[in-house]
Amino acid sequence: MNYDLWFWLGCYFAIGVVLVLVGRVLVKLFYKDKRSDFVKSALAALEEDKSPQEKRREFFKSIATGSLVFLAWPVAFAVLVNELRGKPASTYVKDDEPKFTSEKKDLIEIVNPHEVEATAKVVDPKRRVPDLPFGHLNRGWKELRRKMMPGDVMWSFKTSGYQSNNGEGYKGPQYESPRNNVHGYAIVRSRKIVGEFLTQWD
Amino acid sequence: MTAQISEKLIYKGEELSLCDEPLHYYLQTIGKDLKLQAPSTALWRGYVGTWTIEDGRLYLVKLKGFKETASGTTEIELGDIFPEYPDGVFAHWYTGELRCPMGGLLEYVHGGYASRYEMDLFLKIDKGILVSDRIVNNGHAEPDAPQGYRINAMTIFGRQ
Repeated sequence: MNYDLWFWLGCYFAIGVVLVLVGRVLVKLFYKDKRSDFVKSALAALEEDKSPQEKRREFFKSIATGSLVFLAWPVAFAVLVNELRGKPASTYVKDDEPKFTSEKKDLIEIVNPHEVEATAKVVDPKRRVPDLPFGHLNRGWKELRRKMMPGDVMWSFKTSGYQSNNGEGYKGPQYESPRNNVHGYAIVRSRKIVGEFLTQWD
Repeated sequence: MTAQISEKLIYKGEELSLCDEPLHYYLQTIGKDLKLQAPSTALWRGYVGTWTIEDGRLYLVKLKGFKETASGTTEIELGDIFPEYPDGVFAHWYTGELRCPMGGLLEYVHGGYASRYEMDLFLKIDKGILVSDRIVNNGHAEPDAPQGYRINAMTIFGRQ
């Protein structure tokens, strides 16, 4: 009985060693490092700059990971094969309901799209902006106009954002005005927001 | 989140570290299809932009980004996002305050742009036009404190 146990344990670890070595070869053969040279050099520089303490910690982490792989090699091998097979086409369930930045409470007033367009021209003396309503954002405006159907209403909106530097003991950046106030236009259909176009961020 | 590599801002002839992301808002509306990829945890947004204030206006004049393609990660430039304006775009979509930390490091925080420095230069922008600037003093750093915005201990960006 004892002999059998040791025999099977020996077999388990022997197969583990072989498969870990095979895995190493597979990684060498099939894994392509897709990071650019810029990123590689930046990461290499960050690596060089690590303190001895950090390097020691990383060393012990590698030892611990290696031991775990050796003990639970079937799991590690399954993960490796899965990784080498590539990413699945989609790993999340798509939500049918579109998400919008604006909510009903943010709607300000009903606007006339023609009037909005007439006042939305952006001028730049250096001509670094297209001569179109909302300049570089024109495509978003056109998409919103395309979404409009008979009976739809266009509203202007502004979200409330947040104040970053309130509260006692706050030591962070001293921004004066609230952050993340988003302005834009939304299409409302049957009391529901069905489309939006963001024009400005405070 | 890991401390992030900053944007660059050229203001009054000096290159500063910009700890805000004005392009984020543009990408949120127009560039949703552009599959930018984070090349490391220090650059979740997937690009580094160079901005200037010229004649009181905010322009994005240079960009180095990383895009996901079938063959891996490809580097992209400003012209890939704004094909008709490869030399610079007027950032009229941006309204708000831009923050450029300066001077010695007071406190290093390994997350976002949360590290604190002796001074913060704030530039108030309204639809791409510079309205005002102000400097906030946050305290005095130790004499041997590292100078200039940095992530971890190695990378230094901007004015020191």
